[in-house]
Amino acid sequence: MRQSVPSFICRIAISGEAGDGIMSAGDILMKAAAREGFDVAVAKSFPSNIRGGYSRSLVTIAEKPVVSPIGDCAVICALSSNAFLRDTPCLSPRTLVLVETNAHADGVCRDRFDRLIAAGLTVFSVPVLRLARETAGNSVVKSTVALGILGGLLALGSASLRSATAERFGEKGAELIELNRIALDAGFRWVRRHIDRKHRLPVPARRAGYARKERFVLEGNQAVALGAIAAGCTFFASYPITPATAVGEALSHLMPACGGIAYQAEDEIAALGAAIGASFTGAKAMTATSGPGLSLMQEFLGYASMAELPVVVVDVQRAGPSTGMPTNHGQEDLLAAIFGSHGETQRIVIAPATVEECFSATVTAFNCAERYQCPVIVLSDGTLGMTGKTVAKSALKSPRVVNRKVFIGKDDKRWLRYRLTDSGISPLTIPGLSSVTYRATGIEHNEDATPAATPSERCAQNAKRCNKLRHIETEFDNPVLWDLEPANDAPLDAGICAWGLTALIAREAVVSLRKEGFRIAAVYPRLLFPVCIEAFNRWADLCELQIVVEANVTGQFCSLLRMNTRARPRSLTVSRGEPFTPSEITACIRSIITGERAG
Amino acid sequence: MPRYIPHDYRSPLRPTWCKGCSFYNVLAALTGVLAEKQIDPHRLNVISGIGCSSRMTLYLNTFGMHTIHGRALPVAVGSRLANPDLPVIVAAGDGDFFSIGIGHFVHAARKNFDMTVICLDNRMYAMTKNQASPTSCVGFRGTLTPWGKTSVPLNVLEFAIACDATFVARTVAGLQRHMQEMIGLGLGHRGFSFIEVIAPCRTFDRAATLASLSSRVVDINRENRHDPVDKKAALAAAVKALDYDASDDAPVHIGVFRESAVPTFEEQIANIKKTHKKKSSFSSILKKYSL
Repeated sequence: MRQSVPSFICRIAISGEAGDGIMSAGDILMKAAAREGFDVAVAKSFPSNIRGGYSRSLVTIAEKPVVSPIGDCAVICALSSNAFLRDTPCLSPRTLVLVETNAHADGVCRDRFDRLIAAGLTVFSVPVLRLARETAGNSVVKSTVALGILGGLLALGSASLRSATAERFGEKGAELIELNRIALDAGFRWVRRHIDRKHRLPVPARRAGYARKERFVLEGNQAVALGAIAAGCTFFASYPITPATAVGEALSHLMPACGGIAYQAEDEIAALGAAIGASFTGAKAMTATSGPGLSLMQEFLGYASMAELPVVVVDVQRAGPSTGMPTNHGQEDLLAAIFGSHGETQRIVIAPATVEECFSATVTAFNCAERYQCPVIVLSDGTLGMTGKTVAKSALKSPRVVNRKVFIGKDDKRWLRYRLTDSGISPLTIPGLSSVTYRATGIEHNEDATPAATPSERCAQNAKRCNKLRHIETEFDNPVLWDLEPANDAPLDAGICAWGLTALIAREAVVSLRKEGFRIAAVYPRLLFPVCIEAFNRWADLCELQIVVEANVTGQFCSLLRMNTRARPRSLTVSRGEPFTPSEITACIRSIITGERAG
Repeated sequence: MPRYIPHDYRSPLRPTWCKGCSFYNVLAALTGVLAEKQIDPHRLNVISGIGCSSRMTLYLNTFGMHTIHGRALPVAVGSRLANPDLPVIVAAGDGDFFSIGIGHFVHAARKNFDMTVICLDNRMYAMTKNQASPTSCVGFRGTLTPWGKTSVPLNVLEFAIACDATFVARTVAGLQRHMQEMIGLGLGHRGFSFIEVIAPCRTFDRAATLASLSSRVVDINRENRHDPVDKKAALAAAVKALDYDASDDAPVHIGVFRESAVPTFEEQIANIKKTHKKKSSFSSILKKYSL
């Protein structure tokens, strides 16, 4: 019998204070490992300060495509006491801990250091700061020393780390590149001298046959920007807001070459207003924001629904309410995205779970907006938006693109802007093409776009707007991603549902639970609203115990399922500004299932 | 024979304005200018906010967007950027532009978008039945200020000039020819043209009549030889123009207060686009993110 060798996967956390170079270190490590043929993801946490505050890059290096960018670490490398304390509770005894010598010198940190050793963990005190000063003569390169140490531990090629470092600091001059090279070498040397081979975690040999050209390194927000371009977006407007700004940054660079424009508006209201004005005029238009911006956009969202104008709004969610935690994780805007704004309309809400889906979901969002003439919201989140990942070229292949049907003709009976049709979709035109004109309005109107207040006209138009999305699921290849057990008569232990980034994390938990022998029916919706009623009814019929996992405190998707489907799920939530980890989900679901069994 | 007469620009919809409202005159001036310039109705976007004056859009048969309160300008900006060949007229009231929407005004003016912005200034909220607006006088008794408005009126001309609007003019709804001239100049100007039309509300403001306002006008360009190119002089002229209803015989200053030639936002964007003459394919764009 052939024993299957588990494929290599290793998670490394580099943490310190904002301004320590933690983000650069994560990016460099990702690039170097990716160039050695691995699939890599780097999840970033940082405070909304320029200097100071806990900051961490979580790098996952794997032979197979990375499932979750979040999870338990094999190596923790903490450069500050703050980071050391934050990263070292509840560690598995197999974790290798590296901590800057000065960061565990006294007090609580010293206690923590001693306790980790007592618990049997392998802990190294690393003089990163001293090495940086002694070799490069500058403490500024301390994160590069740490990078060298991690490179040595993983036995990554020093050449790929060197070139990735040089590229990162290339613009800042030869002197800095040289300092970083010295720092890297110091790190490598330190590992050779001080860390026994048995503690090292060498990556497997370089994979043969991988083509560097076939792969890209993208963050979620950049993938959204590329999705927009691929969908034919030519107008983007936004206002700076963490963690969505990177969508606009990418599009500002890309748009001129695509014949489009990325416009910095004076606020989020103006950003969506400009996108709506551009859409009316014929452009495929988008804006991107985060929670506070979404709040400001509510009135214009209602206008786009009423005037039936296509527009895509990307909400890169952050923990709220109000200013909340600008750089922290949360999936708290779901119900605001669906039901926000006064009055009633149907709005399409899509949630990508992976960096690749950030691309495809944005394309789908444009397709839906253009076909159904309504606003579509893409619900991403800060952690997903800032997660960098190796992406295969095949995931970015030219997608199916829907262009709006434009009415070109004479002003005769066929032209009624809000004509009542079976599909609920009416003819639309844009200025300048033919002699037909109309006035878009947020006032209730009749088929002719004329303000109208009779009960019958109101009912007809309202019904049209509410019903036009009834076949929306057909726009999606997989509006709900199913992950079922092979069919047999054994009863299922639980049904698990998760959306957005949490779906990705939950997938890893489902794998672990199945290894433990639990039978799980997992569903991961991409189309969140309108709710895929039949799919969830089927899911509810399959498994008696249903659990929705999400990163908010009130269980928003869970309540949505209770409102719309036969499912009566339990809610498993976290709302601490950090995503779930796969092992947390595994443990919680295990205990729910065993609790159920015990009755 | 001209192709279009003013009536060709009217939609079939009958205005909901009160009988004798000064806004009918503005509508007539607008259709008059459009006919003068023979603009195709389907090659024009008229954008408005919410209020009596913002209904203007619905009474024209051009393309139009009757948007939400205070937000006509951002929508107009999107229209201008998406299709710079499509001229845009924005029409709204003093409350729409200068209370709820004043932030947008600053930036649309400052960035010099090429659009004609007409403020139908009746110095109050009329659709909601008589409340004070930013341009109402001190002491104005509205339903929400029954003891009189306590703040000074906003001088919209001075404000527009300070925001670097590149064309600022004022006219009165009773002067058909002058109104048409000012709107025509605004349409012809390359950049942000702001035209204040003094257009009192007949229903809630019995004191200000078009006849009295029109009889007191002083054309600052002809009679005062005001030079709109000089910003300081423009500001000074604007300051003097505020108190036209201080007394029954106070002069009503009209004309072009400010005019300057500055590249428009759209022109500058076109220049940026020119540097990328060759449109990039998606795969060449992807290269930026290659490993």
